[in-house]
Amino acid sequence: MSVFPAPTVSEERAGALGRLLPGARGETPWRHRGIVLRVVFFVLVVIAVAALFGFLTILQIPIRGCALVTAASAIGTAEYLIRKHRFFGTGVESSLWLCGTFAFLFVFPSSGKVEALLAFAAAAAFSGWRLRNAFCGVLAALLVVAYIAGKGQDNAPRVMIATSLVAIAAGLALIRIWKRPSTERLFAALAVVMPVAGYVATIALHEFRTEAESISQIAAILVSAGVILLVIGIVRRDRALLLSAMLSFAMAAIEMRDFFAYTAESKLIGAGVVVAAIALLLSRILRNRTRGFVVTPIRGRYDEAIQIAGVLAVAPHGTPAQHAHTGPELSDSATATDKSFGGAGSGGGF
Amino acid sequence: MLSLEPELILLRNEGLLDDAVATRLIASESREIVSIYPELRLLTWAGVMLIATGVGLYITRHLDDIGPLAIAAGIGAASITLYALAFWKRGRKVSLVDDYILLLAALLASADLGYIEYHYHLLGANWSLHFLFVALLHAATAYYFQSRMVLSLSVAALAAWLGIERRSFEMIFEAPVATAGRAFVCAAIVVAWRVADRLSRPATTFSTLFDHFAANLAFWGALTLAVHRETRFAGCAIGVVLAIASMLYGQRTRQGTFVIYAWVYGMIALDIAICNLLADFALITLYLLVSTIAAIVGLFITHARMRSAS
Repeated sequence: MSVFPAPTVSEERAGALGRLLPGARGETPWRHRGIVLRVVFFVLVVIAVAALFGFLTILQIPIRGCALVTAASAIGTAEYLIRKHRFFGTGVESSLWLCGTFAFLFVFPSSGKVEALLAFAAAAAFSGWRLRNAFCGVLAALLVVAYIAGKGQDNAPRVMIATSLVAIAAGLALIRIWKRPSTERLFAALAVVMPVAGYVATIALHEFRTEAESISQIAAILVSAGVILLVIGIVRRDRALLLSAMLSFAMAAIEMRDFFAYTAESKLIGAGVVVAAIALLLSRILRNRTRGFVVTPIRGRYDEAIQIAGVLAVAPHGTPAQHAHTGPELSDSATATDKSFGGAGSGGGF
Repeated sequence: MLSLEPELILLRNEGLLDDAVATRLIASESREIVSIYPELRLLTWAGVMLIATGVGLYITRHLDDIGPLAIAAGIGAASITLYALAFWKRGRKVSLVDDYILLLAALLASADLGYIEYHYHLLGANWSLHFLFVALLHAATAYYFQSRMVLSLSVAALAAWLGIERRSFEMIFEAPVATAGRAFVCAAIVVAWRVADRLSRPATTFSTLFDHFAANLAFWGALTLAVHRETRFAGCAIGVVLAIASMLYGQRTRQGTFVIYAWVYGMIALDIAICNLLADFALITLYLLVSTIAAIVGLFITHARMRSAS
């Protein structure tokens, strides 16, 4: 038996086949759960491990002792669940491993230096490797990005280049045919998340950089990365790369917003029209195709997310602009919504 | 890339997968055919939301420059045009943008009605009635076009009419009983609506949306009571009762989300009640550790049983 038991290649593929064709030889001894349940378990386990750490601290056990006991309990429980109950991809074992390795780092004295991020990145990477978990792998990469961003004040273009290169490397890796679905998931996640992470890091560094030069550099990097990802995505017909390219172009457009002397609302409406027009144009071009990229209606993986986001987006928030109030005063009204308009899409604040 | 083509070919050769399905899946796995329909829908939705946000910003920034009548008439005209376009496209071939034309029309109608009421105060002291008009308009549109997206706008407007909306978050702390009462009333109306919808249209696709709205509204009502000292135990008790109901419903209908609601909301309600009784911080932490582990184990077992039963 392996030191770190995990699903074999054939078991992973059988699991993937089971998800593609429910009931068709998809049974493996490993317990796996859907994404929503995994997220719920992940959060619950984080709460439980934090409660354990907090309880030990209240008992006035030295912090290193608390960290060691928490790490041992979490990783020990995770390994027990993996070995005895075949947990793999339930959210429980990955959260336990991640929290355990993070807790373990508190055994060492805190230096307060930014290099500590690399230790957390290593812990996440180790957990990711053990569990073949894309989330942990991406988290490790994000922590490295945070480290690079934290190292210098004028690092914005360098951070953007580094993350774009990782995304492109992940895109190139997706050209190869991988046997394990987990490997594919890791590279796809890296390709999508890294440009976004890089751009968020540059925003965090915003106040430290030279405006115009840096903006054009970052936009240029994003556009270049987007073009490369788009080309690979089209050639290999890979959805993750198309999405990543789309995000890169969107972020480049946001970055260059100040270059255009139009009002914010004009830019938003203009961008909306352009985006919708691109979608319409593509659907027109592809509508009669039966090979390659097609627009055959299939149940969208984003539909539920769009519906939820749509409701959240139209839910009222903010306050409307101040202007002369021509109507009667509603001094007898008692609720917090008075003297503003809106609700379920009729919000003044939008 | 990942391809399950060898496994699919094997299944087809063994006769476990019929030719048509196998051919379709193999073409998809080998990326001979890749439908980017979901991605284009996402892109269209993003475009619509950008336009709607831009229009909203335009209104708020140019109220005094353009004049209220022009704004109201302009947005109204745009909304009517889009409704007309959606109506015209209804009988034709399904297109990528159909849903989003309707969504944009509904969003603009909401904005227009809200703006008209805000500026002209046509309803006077009964100003909040405009939410009800919005809810009715969206409900009629949702039924006519069979759109879940527009139906969700209708239910959200109904909740706003009853005084439940994100902007009134502080009301949870200022008037918990009234806010919770509104949430319960809204949940009850949604349940009644769902029952009526189901009875009148057995093939309805709206039931799940009603279920989720009703469940969350009722749980939020219970937790609103639970965060307030005077009503804490009543709120927790209602939360636990709702959790049991959600669990039974989830198991009966095989909907895992309701089982998750039951464990998560139920655990929060129970935790608030018990932590309130415990004075010692160490005991509270220990209790939270035990209760969270119990919730994880409980949720895992319940969900596993539900899966194996189905």
